[in-house]
Amino acid sequence: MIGRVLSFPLVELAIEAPAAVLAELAAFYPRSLRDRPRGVVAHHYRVERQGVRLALLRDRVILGSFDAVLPLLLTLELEVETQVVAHAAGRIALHAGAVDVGARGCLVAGHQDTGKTTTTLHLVELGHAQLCDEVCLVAPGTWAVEPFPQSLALAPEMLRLLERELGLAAGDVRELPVPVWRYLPRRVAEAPVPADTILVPSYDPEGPSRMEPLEPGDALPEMLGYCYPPEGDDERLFDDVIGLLEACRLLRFRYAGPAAARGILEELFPAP
Amino acid sequence: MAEDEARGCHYVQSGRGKLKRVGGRHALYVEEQKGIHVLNETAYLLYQALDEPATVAELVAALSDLVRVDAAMLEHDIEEAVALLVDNGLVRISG
Repeated sequence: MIGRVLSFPLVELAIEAPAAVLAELAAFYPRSLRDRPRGVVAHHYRVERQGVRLALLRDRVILGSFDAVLPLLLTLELEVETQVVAHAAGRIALHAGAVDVGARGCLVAGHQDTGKTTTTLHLVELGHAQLCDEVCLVAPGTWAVEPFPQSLALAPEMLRLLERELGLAAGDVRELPVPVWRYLPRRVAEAPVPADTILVPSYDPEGPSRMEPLEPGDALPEMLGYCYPPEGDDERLFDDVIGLLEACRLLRFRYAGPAAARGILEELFPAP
Repeated sequence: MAEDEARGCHYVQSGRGKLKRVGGRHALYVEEQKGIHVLNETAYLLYQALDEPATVAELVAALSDLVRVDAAMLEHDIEEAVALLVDNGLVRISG
């Protein structure tokens, strides 16, 4: 058993697990696994063998029992998201990825299967540094996006398609025996940057791929739907999201396919 | 509610909504719903006009100079908007 720390913005999570499990976990959080915490550890996780199964415990309480490593890690991944959001300390917590484009944050917001992660990958492949994926923490007022880089989860078919049509030069693909593979960006942001653009991707096979400006009033209901529930004060969340929308350029990103999508994004966010 | 009956009613803001600006538009935050309703221009003008009790006819008269649609369409739009505001608890029948 080996002890490590998963180090995230505002929360440190200790984990003790067999070496083989930690090696797989590194594919999920290549930048966040450390030997020592940077602050107070909020929770202690442990992976231990129980007969032929693996158990995941948090603070000595069993969260689940699994017949393989990867389902355990997918559960741990959800647990990490829950803890990052729970320790957001007043920040807006959005279901979004983000990329550092010229020291400004471009958020990519959306639910699953809308192209959010693929759009984030495109921006990384254009040479921009990844800030985060899945959970995006934004500080009200400064609109600073916390760096929380992690691997991008994408369907194997999509990664193969992108590799074939456009190449994948800015990250490494890790093949996993589950419905998603992992893309590990090589360039990641290390400091918070202020958000100034929000992209909301939408697959539109009829085309053409294009960006459509959105007004804050039009985007508000949808953006609230991408927020993790606040710890208590809903009105404050609404005010913060309104402020974020008013501070950013808002764009509905309609894409018809990978090559067209990359082209439109390159026009808007040229390589550094 | 029957149409004639609805037209004769006085409507007024329910007091449950808190008005907020969102870019160039307005929205109403309702704490008990933990929800926010974004208003289009007509709905916002209508809501503002309902800070005092008013009938549909009075609202049509108040808004006719502000909204550039013909009277029949305006009355229809106002009736629909009032019904929506009532359904969402933002406006109530007064008296």
